[in-house]
Formats: sequence, structure tokens, C-alpha cells
Amino acid sequence: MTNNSIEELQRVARDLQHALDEFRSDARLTQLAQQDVPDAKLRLEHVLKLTDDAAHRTLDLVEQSVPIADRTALLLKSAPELTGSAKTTAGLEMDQLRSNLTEMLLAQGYQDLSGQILRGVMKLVGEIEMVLARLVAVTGNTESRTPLAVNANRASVVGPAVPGVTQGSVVGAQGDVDDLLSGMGL
Amino acid sequence: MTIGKDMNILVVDDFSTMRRIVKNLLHELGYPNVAEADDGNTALPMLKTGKYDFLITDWNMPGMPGLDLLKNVRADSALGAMPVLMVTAEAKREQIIEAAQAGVSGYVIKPFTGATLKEKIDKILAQHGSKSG
Repeated sequence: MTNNSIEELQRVARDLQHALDEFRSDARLTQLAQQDVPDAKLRLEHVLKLTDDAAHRTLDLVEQSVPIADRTALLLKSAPELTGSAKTTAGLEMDQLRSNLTEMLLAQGYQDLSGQILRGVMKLVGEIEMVLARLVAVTGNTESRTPLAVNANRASVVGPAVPGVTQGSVVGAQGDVDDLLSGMGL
Repeated sequence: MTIGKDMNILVVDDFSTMRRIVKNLLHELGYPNVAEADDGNTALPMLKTGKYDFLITDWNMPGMPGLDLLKNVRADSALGAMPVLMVTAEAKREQIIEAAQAGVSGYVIKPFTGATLKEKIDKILAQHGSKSG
């Protein structure tokens, strides 16, 4: 190995150490990994729940209203007091009301479509959460020993696994870097 | 296998709001016997009991997606000929072709109207009637 190669290697090792030190002392990174990104996922879950509750509530009201509208239409049809154009108008308006109720039923389909999009984003945020957690652990950040707050089924597979997996790779990664540096006299 | 207003329909979708919408529409169309499942994994054992005559399923579901449920139904000797209507947001050409090649009986894109659902069900029943006739 030439002197130039050794110097180059030493420079790379110092750059790597410097980058790791920067990551380690980056409070924002820990904040993102431990709090902000898990929070973002919980918020998205909450939005999903809000839309679910609202759509179901509307469906409850539609399901209650349909038989009321049907019974009222029947009453109006058979009411002897209602005749001529008034009867015709009443019939048309009940048809319109009934049709509106069906439209309201269909309109709740937004919750399924928006929910599918939300779930896709939540999955992505979950992956980012995993990547950040590994990054924080690899850089030897001491606060990273606290397990992440997780409740989604995929995240709960990732959550408990992270301390076990990252502890191993923390020692491994940092140990490898330290071995490399100490072997070169740094 | 019953075909007609009395048939037992299974609606499969991971979103309970969508299952509820389809169930209500089916009731309005005059089909009172509607059951629900939230995934292909829960639906398949229900179908294998032999109780159901018509399957309406979503595609995008976390456990067993609708396409796999369709393939499992077609592969089952007892269920094989069951009418399967896919009701889904998946609208790419390749997906529709894939579903057709897997033996889907009809394909409805979300968002849909009550008229479209009725039209597709009627079409499937007419085809099924003429086949078993």
C-alpha cells in the first residue's frame, strides 16, 4: 500500500467519524425519529378514524331517514285530503328526497378512497420511522434506548424488534469504525 | 346455487363504510340477504361453507387481496363457477385485464353509482341464467 493510499484512507475514516459525530449530536434527528415521525403516523391514524366515524354517523342517519321517507311518501299517496297538483308535487318531492338520500349514501364512499390513500402514506411514514430509528441507533445516540411508541400492526412488529436489532448493529457499526481508526493510529 | 332476489351475497371490503354502502344499495335493489367480510382471508372460509351464491369484492385489501380471493374461488371445484363482481378503485388497464384473465364476472370502478351496480349485477345474472339454463 502506498503512502498516498494510506493517507486517503485516513482522510476517509476521519470524514466518516466526523459525519457520525454530527449525526450523534444532531438533536433534530433524534426528535424526528423519537417523536415527530411517530406522531405524524398517529395523526394520520386519527384522521382515518375521524373520517370513519363521520361516514358511519352519516350512514346511520341515512338508514334511519330512508324508512321515514318511504312511510311519508306512502301516507301522502293515500291521503284523501291531498289531491290534484298538490298531490303530484308531494309525490315528486318525496321522489327527490328519496333520491337525495341514495346520493348521500353513495357520497360516503369518499371515506374508503381517502382512507386507502391515507393508509398508503401511513405505510410510507412507518418505513421512514424505521429508517430514522436505525440511523439514530447506528450513530450511538444514547437517547435512542427508549423504544418507539407504536400501535399499528406492522409498526408493532418493527417497534419491539428495533431495540434488539439496532443494539447489535450499534456495537457492530461503531466497533467496526473504531477498530478501523485505531488500527490506523487515529 | 340460488340466483335471483333471494340469493346470498357476500360483500368483501376492508373498509366498513364501503361494505355498508354496498349492502344498503343491494337492499334497495331488492336483495335482502347480504353478509360481510373484511378481507379475502375471512371471506374464503365463509365461501367454502357453500352458503353464498354471489361474491362482491374489493381488490386492495391487506391480508388476501381481491384478485387472490378470485383466483382461490376459481380454483375451488365447489365454488368455481360463482359469479364474482369486483368493486374497486384499481383502474389500471393491466389490472382490469389481469382480473378478466383470472375469471372475474364483472368490474366496477369506485366511485360508482347505484345504476352502474344494478346494471353490472343484472348483466352477470343474465349471463349466469343463460349458462345454467
